[in-house]
Amino acid sequence: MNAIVAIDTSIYAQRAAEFFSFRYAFALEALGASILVGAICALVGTFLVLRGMSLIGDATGHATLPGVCVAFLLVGAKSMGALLAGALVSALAAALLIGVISRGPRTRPDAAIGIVLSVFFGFGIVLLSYIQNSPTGAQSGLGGFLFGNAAGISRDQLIALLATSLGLGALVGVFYRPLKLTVFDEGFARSIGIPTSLVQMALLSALAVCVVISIQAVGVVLVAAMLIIPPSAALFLSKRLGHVLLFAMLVGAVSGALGAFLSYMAEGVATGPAMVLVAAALFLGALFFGPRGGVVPSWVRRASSARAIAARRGG
Amino acid sequence: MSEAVLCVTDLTVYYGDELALDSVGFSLTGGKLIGVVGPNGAGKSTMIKAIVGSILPNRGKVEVFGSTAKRALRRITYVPQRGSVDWDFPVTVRDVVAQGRYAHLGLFRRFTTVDRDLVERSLELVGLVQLAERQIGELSGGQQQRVFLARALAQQGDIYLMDEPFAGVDAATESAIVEVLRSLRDEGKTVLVVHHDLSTLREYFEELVLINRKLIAHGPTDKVFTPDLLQRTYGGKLAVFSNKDTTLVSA
Amino acid sequence: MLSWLVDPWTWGAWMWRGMLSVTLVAVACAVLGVFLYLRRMSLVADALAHVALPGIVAAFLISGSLSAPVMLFGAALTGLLATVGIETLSRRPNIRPDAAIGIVFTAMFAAGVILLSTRVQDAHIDTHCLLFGDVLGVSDRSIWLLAFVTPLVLVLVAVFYRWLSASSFDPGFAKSLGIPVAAVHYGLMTAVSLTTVASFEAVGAILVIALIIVPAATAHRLSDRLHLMLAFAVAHGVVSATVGMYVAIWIDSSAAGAIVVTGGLIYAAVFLFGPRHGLVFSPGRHCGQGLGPEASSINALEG
Repeated sequence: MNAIVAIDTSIYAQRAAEFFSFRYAFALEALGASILVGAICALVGTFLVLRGMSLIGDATGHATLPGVCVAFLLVGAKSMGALLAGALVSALAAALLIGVISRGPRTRPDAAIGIVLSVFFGFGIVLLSYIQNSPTGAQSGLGGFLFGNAAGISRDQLIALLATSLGLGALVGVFYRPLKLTVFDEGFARSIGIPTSLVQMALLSALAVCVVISIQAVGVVLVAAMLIIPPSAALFLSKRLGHVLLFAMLVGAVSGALGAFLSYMAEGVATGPAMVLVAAALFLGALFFGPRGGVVPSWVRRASSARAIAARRGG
Repeated sequence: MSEAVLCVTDLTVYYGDELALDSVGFSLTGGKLIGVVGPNGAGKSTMIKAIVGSILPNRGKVEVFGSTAKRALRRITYVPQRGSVDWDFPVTVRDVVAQGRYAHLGLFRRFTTVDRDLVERSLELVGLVQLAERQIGELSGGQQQRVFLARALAQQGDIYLMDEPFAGVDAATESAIVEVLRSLRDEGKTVLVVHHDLSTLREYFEELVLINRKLIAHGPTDKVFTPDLLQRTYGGKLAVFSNKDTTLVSA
Repeated sequence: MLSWLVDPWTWGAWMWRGMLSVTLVAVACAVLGVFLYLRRMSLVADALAHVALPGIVAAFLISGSLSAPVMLFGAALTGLLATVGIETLSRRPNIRPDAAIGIVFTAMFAAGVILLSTRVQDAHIDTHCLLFGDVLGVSDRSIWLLAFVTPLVLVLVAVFYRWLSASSFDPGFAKSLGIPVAAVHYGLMTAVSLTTVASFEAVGAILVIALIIVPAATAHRLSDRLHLMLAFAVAHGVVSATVGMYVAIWIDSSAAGAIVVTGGLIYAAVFLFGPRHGLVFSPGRHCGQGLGPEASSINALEG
């Protein structure tokens, strides 16, 4: 174990200096992409978590893999636009399929998620291994989609990512009220004429888009974490939806930034897992010290109310 | 008064910080049909679950025939709410009823002819023999409730605790179930039923337990089914109209 | 004509080694999967499969050994940790159970991936193999592990069959019978963790979920009794393992992936064309419909 600690630290200092000098454009782009992805996943993820659809995000993330591979096989070269279009199609198909399966007789909604997730991903692995075993595919770099590689993001891609994120953000802003009502009380929302099934469809589409633009940076396996963990942390910080959204995006963006930095610092660490670990650490902080239902604050409150009761009984 | 069959003392249950059941205690004698009455959220189901050991009470004690031993507690049979299980579970009516025998067979003892006869007799008693091979999800709500009753009968306990057996059940099934419960009482068993329909209380039960987190009252129906006590049980949510010999209530 | 069925067996021992290990994996996963599925815990299985990875890696880093008991112990420990973590988180009012699952397993899995990519580069752990399996290159250790775990799972399920079935169907009633429902729950979770570890080399951490959930989901649409459901699930697992292996050999792809896709196609066929609950040829009989007039059985009751 000591060997782990006794790694030459000067390399890290040097690398950190290198990262923050932004001498290399890819470091800047990786940082920008990770921050954006963290924030946009948190935005969409908040609605998913509140609607009890957290793990649909997980399934959608895994389900992008076959789409990416099919697109690669069809186009033949690594055109990022085509790959992401393929990812979008299979993510949407997965989200719809989960709905179809869960509505059937003799099924369990949770199993529907698991089935779609694992079968789509299995199909993706078949295609990926097929591509990598073929002579042209070995250098495809598709493996980077599994756990994300933010350093591979080009300036153009970053601009596209920014535009899509702003678009999604604007849509959430415009449809904020129907979204909010549907999340909190679907029955009531329907009764006042909000097309809740349309809202649901829109949410699933937003999820698919969000997952697709994120997989380059976080990877298909762990994108769910960026959808679930920052909003869950934010729910310990506020009870108002607007504030929860802002806190979630903040947690997501910070995780993205620190994750990109850590991944740059440590050789061989993919961006995705690094971002997720930072987000998990922030979540633990919120879980223990969050003012809304955090462990320590509610423990303090319970102790003081117990004291108050004891005082009343005594007096 | 004969010997106490079931004696509950100081039963207290918390859900998180919330007090669901506050020091409830009563004792029941054999050969009675007893109704448990209280508003929604009064802790009726919680009390039943705590007595049968389905949830662990934070405080309190349950004695059966004066003993708290596990073996004695097995003489309690439990009929849960119909909504508590997945009805698409791959199990037939007869399989479910046979589960009642697990209490006596444990993991390894084989089903003997005695066990099989008991299962068949229980199916007959509730009128489900023709449906015994059906998957339980294919049954109507009333039939499903009777499957639960048959399972309890097969268990051959001395005390029956039933959580809302009449919820979502048609009138014919309700009266059929009541018939079975009356014959159990006539055999000397103790039958405790969570019940919601105040209009049939007098007809079905000779004793009532009124609870709203705390025990409000326990006693013979004539003594306990009074406007005053009902008002205390239900709080303001109840309108009571009464004159000399009838009490009309609407919850 | 049958040469493509027979030939692979003559190409070397790897064929029967691979076939043996995927069959053992499929049987154990299918049996446990039935109970997880029926208890609505499919996604807990997902979580457990993921967290076995950090368990194995951490056990290796601490002990420096990759022996079977160490791996099993590490995975069982992280599995238990994850189960307890999910349950503790779910109990807090502002975390839903599904989010709790998502938080715990993604975080632990991320930790596992990072440990794997930084600390154990030169050990005999192949990242890609742990995640996606390598059926054709399974080690002796892995085969022995499976030969131990799969029979163990079958024996335990047979021994505790009454407890498992009663507590899966109606936990409240099972408790009133004196069945230790919580112990059954944790026992099942531990069995899933062990099976996941044993399956790692053959099918990998992520795809093992498919072998747990899909057979059970398929079998549920075909059977009305628990033991039949178990039989159908095992059959589904074994058939998709066998067919998947051949497919993988023909197209030169990941065997685990091919097995999962085969299983998925069987599920889709049953979903659409199943004899009783299929979408396409269902003869109009669905769950919840009453059968025959209520009155007839009431008459029997009174007569």
